[in-house]
Amino acid sequence: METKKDNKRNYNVFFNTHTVSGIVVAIVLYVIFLAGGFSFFRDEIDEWEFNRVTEKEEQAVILDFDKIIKNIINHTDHELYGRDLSFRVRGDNISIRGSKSFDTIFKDEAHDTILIKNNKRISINLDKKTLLPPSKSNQVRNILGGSNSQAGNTTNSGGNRNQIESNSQTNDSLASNNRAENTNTQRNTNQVGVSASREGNKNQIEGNTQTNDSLASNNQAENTNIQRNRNQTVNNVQREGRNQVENSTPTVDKSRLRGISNIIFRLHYLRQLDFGSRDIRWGRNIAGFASLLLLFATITGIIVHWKKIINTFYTFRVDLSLKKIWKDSHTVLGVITTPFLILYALTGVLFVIRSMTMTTDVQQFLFEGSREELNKVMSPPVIDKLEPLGKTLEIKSINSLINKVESLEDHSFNKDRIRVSIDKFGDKNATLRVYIYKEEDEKLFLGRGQYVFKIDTGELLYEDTLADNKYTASIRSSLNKLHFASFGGIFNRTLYFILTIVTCWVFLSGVLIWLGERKDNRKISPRRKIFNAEVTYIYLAVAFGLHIAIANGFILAKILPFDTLHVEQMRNSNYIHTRSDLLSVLFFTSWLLFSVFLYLLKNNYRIFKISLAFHGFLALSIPILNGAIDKQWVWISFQNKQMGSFFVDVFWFIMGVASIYMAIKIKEDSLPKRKVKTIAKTKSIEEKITKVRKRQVTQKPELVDFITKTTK
Amino acid sequence: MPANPKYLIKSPWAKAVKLVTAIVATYYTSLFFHLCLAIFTDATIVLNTMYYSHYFLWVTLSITVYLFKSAWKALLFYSVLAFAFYGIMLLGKMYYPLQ
Repeated sequence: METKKDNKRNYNVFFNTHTVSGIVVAIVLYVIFLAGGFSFFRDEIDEWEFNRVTEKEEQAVILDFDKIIKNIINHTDHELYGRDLSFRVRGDNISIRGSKSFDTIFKDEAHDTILIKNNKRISINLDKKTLLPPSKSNQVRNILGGSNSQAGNTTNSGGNRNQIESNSQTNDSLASNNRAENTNTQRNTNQVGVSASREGNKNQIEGNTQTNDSLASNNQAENTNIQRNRNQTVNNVQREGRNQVENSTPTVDKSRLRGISNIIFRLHYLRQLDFGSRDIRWGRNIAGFASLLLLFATITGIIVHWKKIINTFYTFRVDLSLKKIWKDSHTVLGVITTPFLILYALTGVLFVIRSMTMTTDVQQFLFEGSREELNKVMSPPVIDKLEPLGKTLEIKSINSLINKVESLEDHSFNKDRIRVSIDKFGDKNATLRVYIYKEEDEKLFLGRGQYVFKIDTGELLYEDTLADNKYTASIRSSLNKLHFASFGGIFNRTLYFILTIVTCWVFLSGVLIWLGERKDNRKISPRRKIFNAEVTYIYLAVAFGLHIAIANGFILAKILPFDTLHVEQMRNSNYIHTRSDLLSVLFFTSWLLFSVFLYLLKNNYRIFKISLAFHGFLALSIPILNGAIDKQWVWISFQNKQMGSFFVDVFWFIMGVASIYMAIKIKEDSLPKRKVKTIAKTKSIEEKITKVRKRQVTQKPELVDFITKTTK
Repeated sequence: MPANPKYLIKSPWAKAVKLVTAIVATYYTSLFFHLCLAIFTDATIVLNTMYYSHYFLWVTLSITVYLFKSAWKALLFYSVLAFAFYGIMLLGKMYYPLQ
C-alpha cells in the first residue's frame, strides 16, 4: 500500500518536473534545434548563395617534404636546428610552424662570446605548387587583398585569408588544449607578414574578428578540410561587383563573404546574445543550460511514460480531438526521437560548457590549477621522451618514412590531409610524427591514424592505424562527429534534419498539451488561463516567426548584391559594416516583425494557418528567385553538377509544397460531433448528480465530505 | 492532465532549496565522484570518459533530488555526499599522487 502511494507520488512529481522544465526551455530549444537543423547544410547553403561549384580535384599526391625542408633552409634566413616543426596545408599555402630550439646557446668563434640564437618561434608560408616562399611583392598585394585580376594572386590571397581564418577559428574553439599554442602562432603570423603596412594589418584583424566565434571543434584537421573544400570552389556565374575594375573601389572577394548560413549557425548557439563582455558569454551559457534541461526533460519524460510506453507508442488517434492528437504525437514522436534527443542534449551541453568543468574545476581540484599537468594526464604522450643526443651530420630523408605509412595502412587515407611534424629537427633523436585521416568514402567512423618514426634509424616507434581507435584519443573527436553528423554524407544529414523537425514538433506539441490540459480545468483560475493562453501565443508566434524569417533570410541573401558593403553610407555606419551585418539585422528585424504580427492574431488556429501559408509562399519563391536572379534554375544546377544549389532549391520546394498543403488542410477545430455530444451528455449528468447531492446535503449535512470529493 | 498538486511541494522556500540542490549540490557530487575514480583508477580513462559521464550523472542525480519528500534532507544528503567524495579525493591525492 505504501509503495503504491509512493509510486503515485513519484509519477506526479516527475510529471510536474517534466512539464515545468519543458515549458521553461521549449521555445529556446525550438530555436536552437531549428537553426541547428539548417546548419547541417551550411556548405550547401553557401554554395547556393554564392553560386559556387565544388570541383573534383585531381589525384592528390603526397607533398615532397624533403624539398620543402631544403627550400626553407636555402630560401629563408630561419635556422631549423633543434626546433619542433609542424607542416600543414592551408588552402594553396603550406604553413610551417616551428617552436624555439631546445639548444639556443652558441659559441661565437670570431668574437669569443656566447650567442643566443633560435629562441623565438617561427612561422613560414610556402606556396603549394612551387614549394617556395612567395615573393615579397606578391605578399604585399595579397595582404591588401586588392586586385583579383591575376589568377595566381587570387589563389594566394585566398590562402592567406585561410590561414588567418583557421587560426582564429581554433582560437576561440572550446577545446582549450590548443589555445595557448594558437595565440602564439597568431602573433607570429602578424610578425612574419612581410609588409608592415597599416592597411595590411587592418585587413588581418578584420579577418580575425569576422571568424572569431566559430564553434568548430578541437579537431583542427576537420577545419582545414572544410577550408580546403571552400577554397576549391570557383565562381561559376558572375554577379554584380565581381567584374568591376578595382581602381576606385576594391572588388568583392566572394570566398570571403559570409551569408545566411553563418547567421543561422550563430543563432544555433545563440551567439547573438554574446554581446558585451567576452568573459561571460550569455548566449552560450543559455544554450548550454537549455541543453541541460532538455536532458532532464527527456529522462523524466521517459520515466513518466515508462509503464505504458509500448501502448502509447502504438497509439496515434487522429480521429479524436486536437488535444488527443497533440498528446499522442508528443508521446509517440518523443519516444521515437529519444535517442536523438539524448545524443543532442548531451553533446550540446558538452560543446557549450565542458570547458567550464574540464579547464577550471578538474584543473583546480586535481592539479592545483596546472594546465600542463591536466593535459599530460588527459592525453599522455604516445612515446617515451627522447633526450637530444646532438646534431646529425646530414639531413635524412623523411619522404621514404612517409611513404612507408602507405604500406602499413590497410585503409586508404586522404593524401591532402596528411599532417607531419618533426620533433627536435636535426638531432640524432629527432622523431617524425605522421597524422593521417581517412578518405571520404572509406567506411570508418572516426578514421584517424598516427605514426611515429625515429628519423635517424627509420624505426617505427608508435603505430595507430585508421581502423583501431584508441579510446582516449577518439572519445573527444567522437563528440564532433556525432554532433555535426559529419559522417555518412548528405543522406545522413537529411535524416538528421527530419529528426530535428520532428523534435521541434515534440517541443511545440508539449506546449500545446500544457495549454489544452489547463483550458478546461475548473480548478485553474481564469486569470491563470489567460496567462497560459498568452504564453502559448508567444511561443507559437516566435516559433513560426522563425520559420518565416529563415525563408525570408534566404530570399534576402539572394536579393542583396555582394558589393552591398561598399555603399558609402553603410561603411560609415556604426553598427553595420559588412553585407553579413546588414543581412543579420534584416533577418532579426523580420523575425521580430513576423512574431509580433502572429502574436497579435491571438488565435492558435489562425497563427497556424497564416504562418503556414506565408511560409509556403516564401519557400516556393526561393528556387524561383535563384533562377530569376542568378539564372540558376534547378535543372541547370543539376546539369552543372552544382549539387549544393540543387539540393537547397529542391529542399525549399518540398518545404513550400508541404506548408501550403498543410495550410489548406488545417481546420479550425477537428473535434468530431459525437465527441461534443458525449461531453454535453456527461455534463448534464454531472449537473443532475450535483443537484441531487445538494438536496441531500441540505437534508443531511454529514454528507458534505462526500460531495467535495470528485465524482470520478 | 496536470499533475495532482496534492503530491507537490507548495512552500516556495522548499522549491528554491530543491532547485539549488538539483543544480549545485548534485554537480559537485558528480564532479568529486569522478575525481575520486580518477585518483583510484586509471586517471586518463576516467578524465576522458568524464566528458560524457559527468553531465549524465549530474542530470540523473538532479532528477533523484525530486524523489525526496523533504527538500532540506535532499540538500543535506547531497552536500554530505559531495563533501565525503571531496575528502576521499584529498586523502587519495595524498597517498596516490597522480604525477
